[in-house]
Amino acid sequence: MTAARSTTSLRAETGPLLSVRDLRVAFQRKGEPETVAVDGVSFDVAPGQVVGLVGESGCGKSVTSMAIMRLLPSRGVRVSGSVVMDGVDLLTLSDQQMRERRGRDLSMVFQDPLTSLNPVIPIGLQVTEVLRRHRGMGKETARKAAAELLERVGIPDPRRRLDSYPHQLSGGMRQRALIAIALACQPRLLIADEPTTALDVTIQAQILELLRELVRETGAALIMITHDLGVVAGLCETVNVLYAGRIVERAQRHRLFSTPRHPYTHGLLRSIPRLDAPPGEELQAIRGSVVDNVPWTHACAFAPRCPRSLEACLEVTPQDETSGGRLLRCHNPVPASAE
Amino acid sequence: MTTTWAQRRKDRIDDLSSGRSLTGEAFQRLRRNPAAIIGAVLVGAFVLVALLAPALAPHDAAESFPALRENLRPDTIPGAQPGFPLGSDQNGRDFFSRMLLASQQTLFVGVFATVIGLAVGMVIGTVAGAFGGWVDTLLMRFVDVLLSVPSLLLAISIAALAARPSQTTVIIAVAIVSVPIFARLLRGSMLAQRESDHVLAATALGVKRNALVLRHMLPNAIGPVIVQATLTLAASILDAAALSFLGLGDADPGRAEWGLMLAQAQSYLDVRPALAFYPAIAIIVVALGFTLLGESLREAIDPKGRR
Amino acid sequence: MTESDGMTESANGTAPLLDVRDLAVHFPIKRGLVLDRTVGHVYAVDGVSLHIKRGETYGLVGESGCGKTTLGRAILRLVEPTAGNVTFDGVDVAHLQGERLRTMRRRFQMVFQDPMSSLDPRQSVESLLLEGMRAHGLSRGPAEDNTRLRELVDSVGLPSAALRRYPHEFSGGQRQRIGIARALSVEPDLIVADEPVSALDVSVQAQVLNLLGKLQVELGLTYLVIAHDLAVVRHVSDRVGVMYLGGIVEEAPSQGLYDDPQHPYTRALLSAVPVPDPELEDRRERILLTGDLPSPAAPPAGCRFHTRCPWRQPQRCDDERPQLRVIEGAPAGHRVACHWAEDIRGGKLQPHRVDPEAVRDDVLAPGAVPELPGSVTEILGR
Repeated sequence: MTAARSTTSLRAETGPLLSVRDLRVAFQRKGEPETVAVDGVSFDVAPGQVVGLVGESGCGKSVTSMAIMRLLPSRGVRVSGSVVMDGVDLLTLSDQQMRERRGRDLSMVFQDPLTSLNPVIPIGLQVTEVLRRHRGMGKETARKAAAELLERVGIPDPRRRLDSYPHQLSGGMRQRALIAIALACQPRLLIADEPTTALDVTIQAQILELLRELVRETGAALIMITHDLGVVAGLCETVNVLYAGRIVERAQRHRLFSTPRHPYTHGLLRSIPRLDAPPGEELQAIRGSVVDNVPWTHACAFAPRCPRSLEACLEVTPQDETSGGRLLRCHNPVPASAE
Repeated sequence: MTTTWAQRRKDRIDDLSSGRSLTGEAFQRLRRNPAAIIGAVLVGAFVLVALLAPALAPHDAAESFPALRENLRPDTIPGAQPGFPLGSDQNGRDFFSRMLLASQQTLFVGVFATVIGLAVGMVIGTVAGAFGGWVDTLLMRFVDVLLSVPSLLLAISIAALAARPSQTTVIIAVAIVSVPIFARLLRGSMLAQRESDHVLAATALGVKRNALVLRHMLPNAIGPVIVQATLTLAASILDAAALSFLGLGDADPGRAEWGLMLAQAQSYLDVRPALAFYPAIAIIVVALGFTLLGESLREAIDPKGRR
Repeated sequence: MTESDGMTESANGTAPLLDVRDLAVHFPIKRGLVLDRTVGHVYAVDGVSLHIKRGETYGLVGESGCGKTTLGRAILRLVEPTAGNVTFDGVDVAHLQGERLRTMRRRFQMVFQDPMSSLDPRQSVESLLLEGMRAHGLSRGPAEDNTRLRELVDSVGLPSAALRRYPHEFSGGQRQRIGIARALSVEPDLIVADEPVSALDVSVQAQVLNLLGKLQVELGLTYLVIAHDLAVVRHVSDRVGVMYLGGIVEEAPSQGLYDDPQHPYTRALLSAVPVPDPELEDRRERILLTGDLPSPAAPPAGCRFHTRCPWRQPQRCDDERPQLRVIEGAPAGHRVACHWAEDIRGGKLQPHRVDPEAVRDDVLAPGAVPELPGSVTEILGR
């Protein structure tokens, strides 16, 4: 019941578990110009680490996760860069090899548990399926293990629930079931794509707490993808802020939230109503919307909406610079002492 | 470099000056679809031929020519010859002229049957969908009864009921058969509209009930019905042809109609297959044209195709 | 505009603009092939009383299935109330019929959650805005209408070129502005905003919230803001009502609610809202609720919250439904519906563990319970 605790204790001081380098995903539709959803994203995930990818819709956060999981359709999509796990570039694996890794080495939890569960198959079968496939369990052992898993993720009366269909469970329970399936084979990396967005706040709090516990217990690393800065603040060690397909700022969470340097991060933090702020004061809204973006090719995509934009911002693409553990992609960042 | 961005921005604002409606966008998509173009060409050609048939046809449909008749034998029907591009039919009439003139009849029957069916179906569907409750239940049970009989069987029964088979009975029979489809389809989408947020919003705004139904629900619900109408038109042509083929249409032997011609040609299949072949091909091509058009219309209107 | 401001001042002491008493909305659950038999009810709203003063913003917060949307719609008569009264500026709205109800609608408007689906896709913005004006006889000829339309789109921060465009050509935030302009087009007194920003991108939400604030000051509007996001509700509202399973469990001025939450559910809700501040997140006390919202078709007896309440006591909670009341030592505007609020506030009672109860799933799938009951396929489709 306590607050987020750092999970560093469990982390072995080795190299990164997952290393994403210069990941680029472009969608090509017939008769239309190519749209670049992810534009050179690089980040590392250490074993047992919780990494956040934050951004608004269309910033490429979900596409990044789909690309890592190799779940994007092969037609009309161009993926380049590398995603190295255990010294192997996942992007170069065959479909068969990737299928073996999915669920076993890395696993995913989706936003909408109802659509990502098969509606006509009982929950139990969906869990045992994974167990039997990847861990070669027998029917009975798998069922027992499945019940344990459901219990572990906090589903009451797990034995009976094995025979329930997804629609018979509440949203929170479905998400728990989905997490159970994702964790069935004890993957070392879990990717959670907006796992709590479809849920109510009190249920969200339960699920976040569950994820925290699981990460702590199993030592699995977690990539948390969300639009909610609040969720990130309590969960992730390192936070990547995405804008229009690129990481614009990355820092350890305490530093990011206490001194946001990129005008986007800074603006976002000041634009959301906060529970702990006095009510009624005007929010510092970011002007415009994502449609105002300019392409990164010769400018900063955020420049048209940025209150600190300079001439240079519309002429030169800002490069990412790392200093003191903080990555920043900005010509005119907010001074460190601004807040 | 700055200019590109400034230009883009300006373009967007200029773009603001001309709003594009959904119908406009659907039409744009339609124009880019090859199936739609083929369908439109086939349908267009058919309509054009039907309209111009009296001018195009070299001869009258009922006129029997001695030049052709004298060559008629039980085992031969004269083929193409000067003045008669497709030769003779079984009665020594100009087959080419009859083919052309028949298109007019086919178009007439198809369009009328569909329009009548559409009108009746739309009234039933609109009333049922807009009011709901027992009105809806009553109308839909009636429609269900109609739907429970296979369509051709129903058309045959209705046509057979008529004291004297005629063109009108064919049209009415085919129209009645298409009513349930339109009624059901429209009611379904009207019900969906009734539950939709924008109708709720209009209600909240205090828009009057009639305006609500006619301005907000109906125009948004009608898309699938229009698509269905083009598809039904194809089916109506086939149904009408079938009725004529079964001898439930106008019995006048001089009348040219593809279904009727097909029916009459069956006795001469081994003598001259072309007599059956041409009307059959004509029916198929026209039905295909309407179907292609309808299907691509469906694709163009379908909101899923919208961004 | 100054005129309406003055009105606000003078009306403050008098009767509230909106007065809702014991409002209930029960949806029948029907079964049966030929004749629909009512086999039960979904108690979406079950005895809610609240009042909103002129110029005030009242926030309703609660989780999905708590009935907040139904309550808002029942107040606007978009859903038929089963029982209770809604008095709007002295007129009993809950029993108005036909044309009188329609003309009354001019005075209370709604802003919807999903700005795309709530705008007729076939109407240009111009005809969308004109429609309400025409329906209420506010149209005064082309020239004046045109000026009014330009004024409207300008007041919500859109260029006048927007008038000729269609809803699908705008971004989400812009569409919500159109939705707001439509509500304003008939010059209402009250606006019910149902989740006005939850469908929007984070960076755009602030723009819309600020716009709502600006319009309230300029036009002297009264708001009922319904949302699941406590931070949003608290930010915009003067007073906040917390709803749980069809009833209001706590009502307080928005700062008071945050400083001194008295109902166990409010406390849990406050502790569950993530705050973008790691320091605070690390040290704040978290009250995790177990289990799910019980089905509104079979609400628990007594206090609706007792099945999940960490402070539940063996006495009273299970069989006596608590009423809203002011507890000793609390300010007058702060009301709570809990039997043990004094002891919880005074620290005499400590939270205990709650074992999640398997929620009944035979009436309707819990959590999938829709605001309006529908078929199984509908529930599945959600």
